[in-house]
Amino acid sequence: MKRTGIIINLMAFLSFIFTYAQEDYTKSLNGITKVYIETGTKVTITAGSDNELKFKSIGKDSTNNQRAEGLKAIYSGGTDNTGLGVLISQEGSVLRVKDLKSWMQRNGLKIELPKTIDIHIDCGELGAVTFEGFSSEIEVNSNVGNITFSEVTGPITAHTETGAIKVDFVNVNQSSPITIHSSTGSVDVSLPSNTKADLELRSTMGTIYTDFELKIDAPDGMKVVGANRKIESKLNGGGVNIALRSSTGNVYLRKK
Amino acid sequence: MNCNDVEKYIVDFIDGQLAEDETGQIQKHIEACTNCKTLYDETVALLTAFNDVDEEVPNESLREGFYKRLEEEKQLLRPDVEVIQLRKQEKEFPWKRAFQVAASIVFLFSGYFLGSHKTKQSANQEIVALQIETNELKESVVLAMIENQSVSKRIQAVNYTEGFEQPDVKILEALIERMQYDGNINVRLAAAEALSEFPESSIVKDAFIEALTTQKNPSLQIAIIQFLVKIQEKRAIDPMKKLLEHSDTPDFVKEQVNDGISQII
Repeated sequence: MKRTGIIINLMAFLSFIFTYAQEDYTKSLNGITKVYIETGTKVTITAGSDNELKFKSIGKDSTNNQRAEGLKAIYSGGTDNTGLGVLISQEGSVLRVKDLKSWMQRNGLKIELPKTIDIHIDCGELGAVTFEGFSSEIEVNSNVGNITFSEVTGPITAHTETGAIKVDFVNVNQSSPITIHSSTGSVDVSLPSNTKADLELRSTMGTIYTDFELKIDAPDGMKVVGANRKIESKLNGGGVNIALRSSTGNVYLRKK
Repeated sequence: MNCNDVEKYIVDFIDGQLAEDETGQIQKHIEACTNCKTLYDETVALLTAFNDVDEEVPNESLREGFYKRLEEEKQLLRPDVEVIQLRKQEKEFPWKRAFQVAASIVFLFSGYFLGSHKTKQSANQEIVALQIETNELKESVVLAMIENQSVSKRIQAVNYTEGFEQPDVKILEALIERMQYDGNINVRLAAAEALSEFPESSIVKDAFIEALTTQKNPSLQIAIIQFLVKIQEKRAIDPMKKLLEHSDTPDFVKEQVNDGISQII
């Protein structure tokens, strides 16, 4: 009898943990091809198998503010239609996800999206973003936050002012160009050794490092004007255009 | 009619093959000239002798004998008898044949080159026409793609213009619009880079000078400064000096500005 009680208690405890760990919010993505995300916090976006948008372990408005009872939180950025401080709206085949809370209130976001959906994310002033496992087109803009991609294929268009960008490609989608740019941070990209690409590497004041054997056609007898030193090279016979640049940071191109 | 002529025509004369007047002349000459008379008589005798000789026919026994011998030879030829191949005689090199072959090869090739030269001329015209068509097609692709929702596709459209030697004004204007107003900095940078391929165009120069005062992104500012310094654009000096005065211009951009101003002479 005592043992049964323990088991029941254990089961209750486990189910509590399980429900707690589940997604707090899901939204079906039928008819959606692209998701626009606007947030100012640190975001981790992972690829899932369902055709759904999932917010994982997002903190509900936990402040038990009794004074607010019967009232509604309003935000300058728009109306909260999810109860999470997030505005979700649809425009044709585009889903817009706008985080209404400031980075001070929101301590990180975990989002799951289908592997093949196109993503555009604007990280605001201080936001940073990490992508895992996408084979779709991704566009990122950040100001000071770092941008990290792991196990992606591109096309990728990423820009940050002062953050560092790190990209780890599993293979490279040849359909359209990949452009990765940091004004003052470093750009660090790993490519499979058999990647076909037209590389364009540029660092105005930093240095470019690679372990690929690149053939570089240095123009003879031409004066280098300013510091505009661009390295153009074909990788494995050429292919999709991959442009990596940093104004003052270093560029690292790794072979794997 | 002299003796030589008579000698030449004598056989025809005897055979009666000559025209009447010639026959008469030769007749007269023979009667007058003893030498020719002798020649005439001898020739007549010779021809008569030819005519008199019977044609020799091999007799039947010869034919029979031949077949008999052939049968005997066949009998001798048994399977176990080895047939010895006689070695061919070393022939002299066939110069004549070789010359013929060489001549025909030369003839073949000259014909080929003549033909290919002619078709090349018309093919060149076709290629030029096709290139023009391709460029027009590319231009329309660029114009269609440059406003695509996808940033990567817009960059692709901008990169397409790299192959153009003298792009249409529409293309340049579309690129300038991207450089100035595109929402994505990477597209603006790519457009600025594509535009720097056309330093002769005055609208491109004007656009860069304008962009120098409007663009706030440091990477784009550096790209613009580098272009204007490269083409030695003196009108750029004033807006560049203004950039130096701005407090929100990053130091590394100011460095580029100072470096650039010193290079525009």
